[in-house]
Amino acid sequence: MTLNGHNTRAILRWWLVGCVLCLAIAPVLPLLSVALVQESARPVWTAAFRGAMLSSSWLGVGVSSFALLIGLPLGLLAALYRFPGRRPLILFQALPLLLPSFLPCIGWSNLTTVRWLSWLPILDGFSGCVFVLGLQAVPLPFFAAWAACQNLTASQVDAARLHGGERDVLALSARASGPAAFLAALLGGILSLSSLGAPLIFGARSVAMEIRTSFSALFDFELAGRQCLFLGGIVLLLTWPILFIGLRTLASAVLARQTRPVVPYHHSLMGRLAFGALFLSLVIGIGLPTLGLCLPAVRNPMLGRAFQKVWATAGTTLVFTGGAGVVAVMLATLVALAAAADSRMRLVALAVLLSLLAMPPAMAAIGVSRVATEAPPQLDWLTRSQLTIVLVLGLRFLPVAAVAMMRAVGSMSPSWIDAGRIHGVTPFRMLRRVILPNLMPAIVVSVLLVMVLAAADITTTHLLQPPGSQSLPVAIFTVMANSHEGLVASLCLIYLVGVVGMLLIASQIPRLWQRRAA
Amino acid sequence: MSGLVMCTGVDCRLGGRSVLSGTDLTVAEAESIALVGTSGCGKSTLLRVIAGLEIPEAGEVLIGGTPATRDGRLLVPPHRRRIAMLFQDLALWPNLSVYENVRLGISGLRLPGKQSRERIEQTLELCGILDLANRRPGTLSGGQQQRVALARALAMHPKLLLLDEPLGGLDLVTKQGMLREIAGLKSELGFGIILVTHDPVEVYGVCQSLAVLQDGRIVEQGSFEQIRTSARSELGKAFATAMQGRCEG
Amino acid sequence: MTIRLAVRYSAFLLVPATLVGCSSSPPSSKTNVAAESGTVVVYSSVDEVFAEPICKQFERQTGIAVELVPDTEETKSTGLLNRLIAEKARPRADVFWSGDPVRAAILKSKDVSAAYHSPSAEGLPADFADPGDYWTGFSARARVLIYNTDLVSEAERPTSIHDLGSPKFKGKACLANPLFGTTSMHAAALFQVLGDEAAKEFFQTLVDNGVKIVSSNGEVRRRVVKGEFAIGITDTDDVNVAIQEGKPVGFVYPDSQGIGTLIVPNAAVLIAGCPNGDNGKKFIDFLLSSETEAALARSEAAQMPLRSDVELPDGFPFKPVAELKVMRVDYATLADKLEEISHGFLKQWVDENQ
Repeated sequence: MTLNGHNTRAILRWWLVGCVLCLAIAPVLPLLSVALVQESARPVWTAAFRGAMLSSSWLGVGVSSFALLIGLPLGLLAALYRFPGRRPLILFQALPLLLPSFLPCIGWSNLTTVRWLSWLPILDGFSGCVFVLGLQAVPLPFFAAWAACQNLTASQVDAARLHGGERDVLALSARASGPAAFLAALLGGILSLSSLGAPLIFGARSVAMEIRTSFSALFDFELAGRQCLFLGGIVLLLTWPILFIGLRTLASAVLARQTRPVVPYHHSLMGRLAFGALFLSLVIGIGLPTLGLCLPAVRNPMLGRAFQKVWATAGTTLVFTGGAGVVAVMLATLVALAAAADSRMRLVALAVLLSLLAMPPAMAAIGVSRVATEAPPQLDWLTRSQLTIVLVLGLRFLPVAAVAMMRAVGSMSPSWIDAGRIHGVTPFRMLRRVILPNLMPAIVVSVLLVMVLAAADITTTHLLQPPGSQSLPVAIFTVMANSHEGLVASLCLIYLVGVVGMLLIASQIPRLWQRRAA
Repeated sequence: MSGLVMCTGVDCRLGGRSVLSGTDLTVAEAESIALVGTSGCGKSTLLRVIAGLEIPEAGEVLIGGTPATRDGRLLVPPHRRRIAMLFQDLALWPNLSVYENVRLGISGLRLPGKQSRERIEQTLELCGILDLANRRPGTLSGGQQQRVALARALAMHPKLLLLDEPLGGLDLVTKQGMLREIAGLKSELGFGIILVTHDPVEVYGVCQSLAVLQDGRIVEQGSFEQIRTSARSELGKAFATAMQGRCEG
Repeated sequence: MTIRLAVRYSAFLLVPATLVGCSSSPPSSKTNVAAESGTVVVYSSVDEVFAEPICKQFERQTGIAVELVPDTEETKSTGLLNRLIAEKARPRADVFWSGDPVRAAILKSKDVSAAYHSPSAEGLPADFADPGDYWTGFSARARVLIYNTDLVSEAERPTSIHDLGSPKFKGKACLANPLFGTTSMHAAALFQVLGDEAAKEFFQTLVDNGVKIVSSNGEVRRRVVKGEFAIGITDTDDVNVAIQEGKPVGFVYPDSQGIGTLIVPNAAVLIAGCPNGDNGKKFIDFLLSSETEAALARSEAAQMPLRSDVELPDGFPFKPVAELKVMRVDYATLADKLEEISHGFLKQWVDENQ
């Protein structure tokens, strides 16, 4: 129970969250407003767009279902049973989500060129898209289910086990984590709407392709803007009811606290099953596409040249992604703290942010570069510098950071604040001495997460990077077409190793923190 | 009559549900009162209203004769009421050492450095945890953590200590030790107590009177003897009888 | 302890400040430096691997620094052309080095480019330049038929783009999405050369013959190399990659007996109102020189020089442009044609057949 009688404070909090949300919307506003205000010669709702919308919707449904069907059982097995290599196996499940979406697509399409792998079915069209994008989305319901299982108490699980064995345990935990996993899978589906790589490479119709056509073949920004608006509107239309139905689940998932957490159970059959399933998921989700990406590097390694490229782009990459991480997490912490006492506010913030995430990144990038041209040169430091990329990327990944920080804030006891108020500790001192130090591990992990995700967002960086500063993924992207496969593969390999490294660091942070605290 | 705390006609709604409706409660200077009631009847909310953490829609709360909350307006903020509280989960700040927990707890008093140091050390000594000053709460046992929370509460020299079922998780021996200590400190420092509890053991030796909260209002209040003889509620009767059995035993 | 804490927290607060600081201050100073020292900003739709050495050479020769913003034809993003159009009111680029003349023509139609007649254009055929000097063509690629030599014998190899519609390649031919890149230019050229009706008929024969639309020219090359398709249409630079890697592919200049082969020259474009016009012009002069044509012929792209007197490297896989039967195209009006069909027939064709 928290204080909610304080009207002025509540209003202030709504204002604060409103401001952050406005800031998050700001980059996509220029094109959206142009789309809304200007008359265009071309209609949006054409048969082609309808067809693409339908195809995209099916793609979203397919990706969500695929991800849920694989991710939920994997998440339950990972949370409930003990098996060898449990921690790294769980950790690396995140990898597919952290790579730029075109990398696995290329990996898969490379695979079949290898003679001894030519028996693999050729991924093509709609089913290919669902498969590759679905694999990328699996980590979302996986971790949602895993986290939701952590919210079960050990006694609940013990009771189910005594009552009906493992079947009942699985049924109980599936019921408990189902809604969260469903919402996460839905998010995966929404994200797939704006993905270009897979539909492009496997040849499927999608709204993202339509928008790209408007941008790149028709050069009709207004049309593209209106199409984005439609896409965003439909995403909102679809997700809001689901989000509101899932309000209680989400709120409890995000705010859950536990008395005695579930301890993974030693059950030889289920343990073996869990190990096998997680291992297989890693092999298919990341192993095979990586193999596809890297085979050319084995045949013709060009690591020297690749390292040169990495060295030249490392600084810029760090500034872009690190800055984005810091911006996203600072704002996310603000939103999470302001909305800590109000589940409705949390929900509104999440819904707005998630629908923004579904917008194609080019929307914001083109919009911002337009604004930059109209703005006086004195504002170049804001609209045409590395800071611009940092801000746009940071705002784009604010939703991810917001979810992470809301969970972290939710895991703090509200009575800490109450105790502070009774003892007359000023809010600023409370923030500095208690809240921020306790949030620090989550903050650092979220920064790293946003860094990796921001690195994978090539469109924004590519369209906004100031001349002379190139980030590593963009470099990979620009050498991809006609460079030696060996160089491309070596670069991809280095990138992958970098992501794995970041993931390992992120996983160690809470542990280091705990050790320090003790 | 103006006691230490006087609540009149307090109405409080939480999440759209009426929790307190027309609640009256009076606590005299240095009085110790046990607040009992069925689960979810609004005991914790009443404590939070008294502490100023919750603002009731209607009614008045007087602290030491001064209006602190009236008709939905907060007139005296929590930290100016000289009320301390022991929370159910103790609400110790986990990243700070025992010493720092207490120091941050009195930061609102703005004491000069030396005075503040002395006050902290005194209180830690009083609670028997001076040797734990540099430890973090996470590394302490349950009983030690209770003492830290108590020390933090007492360091601000409160006139009233609110205890919200803080001893729930302790074994009987530790619990009784804690209760004795609280009673001792109370007679030494002279603060009042409102103890929310379900357990007659906790009431014994600390409280002299009982208030029974039912459906959001105080249905009876008085000494154990008074309540035993003229109890209007089952719970009041049961509690007073249990207490009497204990006293006689 | 207080000091230690203070240091720790100020460090925490400083992290974003420094990150943002170092991200904001250098570029602003950099742009100032760029304006003062005359750094040329070049946006290029030519692959970075080919563009970069040319820029380096220019830097060495003139002492003028170049900042290259590369793109790729296989772009999965929305490309640099959008950025140029979006930045029209206050451009950051001085020069756009386009891999094809259509993009250059689009820039002209959107009033993004400025006219510039370079003295280095001497010797370059006027057919491959804008009559108003809004862009000038140099080193070229050609649109060729690529085939898998394991699947197609020498005798059976295709000779015309119409072979994509021939029954012997039914279900075995592929084509990049004709809304994008050089394939879109090729489509527009066919509409111009064959006439609307014949071109539409040609595209219909492709549908009837089960020609697959793939994402890009690189993808055409990959799939033909893989043997998934026997033939396809792609660019000479893509063919060259496959040849260099020793893949089992051959290529044919299509329609040498008929409408001829489509030549895709690079185009140098000066951006209107650019921050650094003088040096931009110098860069264009350098691009149009026979030295650059020779260098691009030597590069992995194996670009064909437009000048007939440029010396070709040993083992150069392609013929000089002068020796080819060239498709007669009015490049200046190609962009208009492309815009027309992109919104109409071609868009619909792709929608229906993808």
